[in-house]
Amino acid sequence: MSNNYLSGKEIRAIAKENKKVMKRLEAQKYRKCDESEYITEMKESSNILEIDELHTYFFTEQGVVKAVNGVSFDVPQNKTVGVVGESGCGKSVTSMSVMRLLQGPTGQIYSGEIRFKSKDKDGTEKVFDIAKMPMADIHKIRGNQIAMIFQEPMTSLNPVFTIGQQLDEVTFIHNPEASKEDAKAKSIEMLNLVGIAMPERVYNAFPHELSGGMRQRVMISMALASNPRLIIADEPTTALDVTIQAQILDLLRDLKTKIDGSIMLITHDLGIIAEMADYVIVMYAGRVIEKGTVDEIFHNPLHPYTIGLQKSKPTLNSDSETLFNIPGNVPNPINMPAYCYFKERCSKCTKKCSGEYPEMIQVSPTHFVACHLYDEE
Amino acid sequence: MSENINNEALDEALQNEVPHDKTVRLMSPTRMVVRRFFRSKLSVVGLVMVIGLFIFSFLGPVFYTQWGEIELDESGKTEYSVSSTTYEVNGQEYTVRQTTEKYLKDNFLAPPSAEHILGTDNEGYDVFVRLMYGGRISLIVSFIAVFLITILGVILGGIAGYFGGAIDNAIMRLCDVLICLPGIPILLIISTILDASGIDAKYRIYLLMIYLTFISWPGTARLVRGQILSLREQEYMVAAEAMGFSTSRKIFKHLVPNVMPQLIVQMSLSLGSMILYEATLSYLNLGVKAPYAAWGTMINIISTNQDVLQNHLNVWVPAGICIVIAVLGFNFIGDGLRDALDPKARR
Amino acid sequence: MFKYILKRLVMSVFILLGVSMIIYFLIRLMPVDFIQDKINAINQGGATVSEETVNAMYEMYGLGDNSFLGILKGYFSWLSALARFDLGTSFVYGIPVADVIFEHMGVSFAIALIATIFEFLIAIPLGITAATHQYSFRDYLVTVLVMIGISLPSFFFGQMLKDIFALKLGWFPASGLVDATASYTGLSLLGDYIRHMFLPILTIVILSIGPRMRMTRTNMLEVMNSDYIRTARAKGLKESVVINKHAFRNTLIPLVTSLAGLLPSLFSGAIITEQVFDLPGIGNIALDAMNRGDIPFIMGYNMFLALLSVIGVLLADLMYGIVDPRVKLE
Repeated sequence: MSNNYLSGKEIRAIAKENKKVMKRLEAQKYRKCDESEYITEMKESSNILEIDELHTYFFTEQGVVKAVNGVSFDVPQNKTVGVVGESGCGKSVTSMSVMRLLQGPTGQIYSGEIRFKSKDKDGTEKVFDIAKMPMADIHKIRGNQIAMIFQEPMTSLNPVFTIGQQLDEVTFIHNPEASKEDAKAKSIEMLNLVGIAMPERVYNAFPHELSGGMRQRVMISMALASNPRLIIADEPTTALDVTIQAQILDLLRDLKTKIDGSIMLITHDLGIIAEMADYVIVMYAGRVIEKGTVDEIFHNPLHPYTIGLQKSKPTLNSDSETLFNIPGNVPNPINMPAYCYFKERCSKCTKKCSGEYPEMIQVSPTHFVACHLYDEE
Repeated sequence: MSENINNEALDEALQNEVPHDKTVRLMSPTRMVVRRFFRSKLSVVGLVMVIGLFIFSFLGPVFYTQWGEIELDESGKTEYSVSSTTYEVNGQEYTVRQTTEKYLKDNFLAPPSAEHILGTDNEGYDVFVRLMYGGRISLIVSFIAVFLITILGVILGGIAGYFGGAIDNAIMRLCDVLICLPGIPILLIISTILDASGIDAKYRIYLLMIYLTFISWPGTARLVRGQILSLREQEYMVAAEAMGFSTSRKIFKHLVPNVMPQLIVQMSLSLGSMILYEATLSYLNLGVKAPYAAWGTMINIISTNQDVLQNHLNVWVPAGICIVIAVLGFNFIGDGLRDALDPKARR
Repeated sequence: MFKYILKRLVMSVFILLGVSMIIYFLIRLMPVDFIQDKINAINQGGATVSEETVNAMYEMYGLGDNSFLGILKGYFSWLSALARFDLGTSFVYGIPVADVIFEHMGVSFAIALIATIFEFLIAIPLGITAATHQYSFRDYLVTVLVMIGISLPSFFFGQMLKDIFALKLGWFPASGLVDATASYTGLSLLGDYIRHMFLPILTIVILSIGPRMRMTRTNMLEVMNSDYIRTARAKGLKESVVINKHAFRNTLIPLVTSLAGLLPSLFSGAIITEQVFDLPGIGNIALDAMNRGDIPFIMGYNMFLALLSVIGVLLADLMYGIVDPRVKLE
């Protein structure tokens, strides 16, 4: 195996190149600039978020990991968009990019636009390119207009503060003049909203005194406290029991109608997507391979990967004894091939697949797929 | 068919360190550690410092043979002092001159010169040469102590973790006791006992270091024991046991790669603290005693001699700098190793 | 909780028994005629050791009877005296050892306490800056400086400070705790104390900032990578609030814990620093006692130190449970 390892010379070359790029991107992140530099226009006015050719890279010692490699999709107002894919496909990194929570200096947005329609307190709408915002201005959006719910409720709350302290904080960020009583009233209201039975008691509790499901409810109430226009839920139910999962999903669906916002739901569970989402984005190895409405993806999946994904979902009334399994593995994110990333695992692969990476092909007004099978001759 | 694939996937998942894609090349683990170590400038500086001191102490006396460790410079110059007294007798002035000649056998407290690079100390020994010999003692003694601590710690910690139960309990309580023993005060007692038994000045430092070993092994033992216990808890260990494989073989197979990095780091850090300990003992006149040289002994003079402290910096400051270089060097190396061997390190 | 404390207390007693056994064993290793030599030396040096004191010590330690039973009897007689806080009578001072210890503990404690406060005040901000600017020039500078501090031998650094600031520049007195030539009262006496204690405290602070700063840095780095910090950032909190409120509180937990373990050791005295600056602290007294062969004192002092460290370990464990709400003591 030793011939598969990098030589010292190559390692030094990688490190040198990485350092150069990281330095440039870090400087850009912490630059001071005027708002006009990152104000843009939406392509479609009904969208709240438009991700356009996003490239998010991790500059590791072994080479550049292109975790998100040219992802484009939109989140329309008042809709739920599900992002689905197996672990490591870049779905979480996409959400982290939107929140600008990537761990620097290794993780960086390399290029692309993340356009977000923000609404000031007085109601004026502005469109920001989040990817170009300097970190000093990010608080205009983060937590305020976009809130996030994380995968690990057990560790996502600060263990040394009470739930109340952590909830009140959100109110204070967005309304520094609020009194302590106001903040508490708002926090209790939020806890009520997410269906916590004894909000007063939970308010004074420390995180370790709550169960996982309760903590996730608290996380959701925290996300709601700022009246966000977009909630990003990154695998919100993965770490929970099945019964609790259903409760949390019900809650999320309920809330969407209540708060009049959009949800970007990230998960690897197709069942959740089918239940929750209006639109589905299927990601594979840092790219979007198919996107469309939930109907189109479930009833007319086109990409062989999407088809495989659905077949591998366990169902009660199927006759087959073994679960379907997509053979092979995701290619290594360093040195991605130039051809379709799914080629090696694809059962329908043709000669053409060894050529260029397939373009996005529109098959219906809302349905897109990146596969050579559907190339127009 | 699907069963085959499952097995393959499992195999691949098991050895996820190795790239599954033939076109992808990763960094070998060894190279990664080496690279991380050398990327930190501090560890390189530490390495240079330690290697430099080793060359100075061990090869220095081989090439610079002008003076020996306990060779006195007896070229003391003759001092003349002239005093004159004037008398007036009957209006006539008489001047009486008195000359005293003092022959100094030893050339002590000489300033730095070509003859003595760093001058001589209050006894007339060459400071530069004694620095080299002092370095030998400090480095050898510390290495022996750290080596013994590690061996003792690994054996006792290994026994405690492996057998568990009453044996574990006994060894761990012994650790608790030893950790509560005061360091230097007990060394004071032991030094007195050594005085009473008339041990040769040359060997007493070794005996003191053996005592230090005796009270210092619990740290290493706890480390090794903790590793074994956490290995036992691992799911794959439980699985191995359930399948009837012997746990002991697995433990030792996994123990070495798991505990080695931490051991190496601990060893390099304790080398630094042992050098400090040795120097302190010698400074308190408990360790290496005159006429033999040790860095601490060379500084000891200033605790009683204000003149040397104030006016002859060349006698004691170099020894102090040597101690700082040695300890700092080992600390830098230890720190660099810790970062290099830590799998959680991000950059 | 109560059960846990009880368990720990019982264990501490056993640890103390083990330590006392080792110390007693060391006394028995001293040849009796050697002790006599030391007593003679003290007698010649001016102070007189009364026959009574010597006999009392022989009795207390059971010296002279080297049969197995004799040693055992000696150990228990020493132990029972110990239980009554009777550590014997000091040869040099002619008063009970416990009194000598309590008399000189104050100076050592004052110096150690002030030094510890400064250590924490300086080390924590340094550690946090280093962690929040990881791998930057600032991080390297702080790390190198505190590493040099860790690597300095106390006797060398102390003597250097003394040479420069006391002897050459004359800014501070070189030794002692009070100016013997002047008789200060009230505030000016306090000022005199401060002037005398400045250099020793500076020595201790510089030497021991390192470990605490490193601890802060490591903890801070770990905390900064945790999920709840990500949550705090996602809430829209400013980075300064994230660091100074959310991360800081969590970083503090192990530091406060270490403080509790440190508390008893504040009384033990800094042998080397006190020797360098010739302070009448307990460490210096012990060193002096050793050089003059005051065996009862040295033994008492060792037991005193052992007791302090046993209490320290116990306190550290208990504190850990109190500070961190997640830890439930078994």
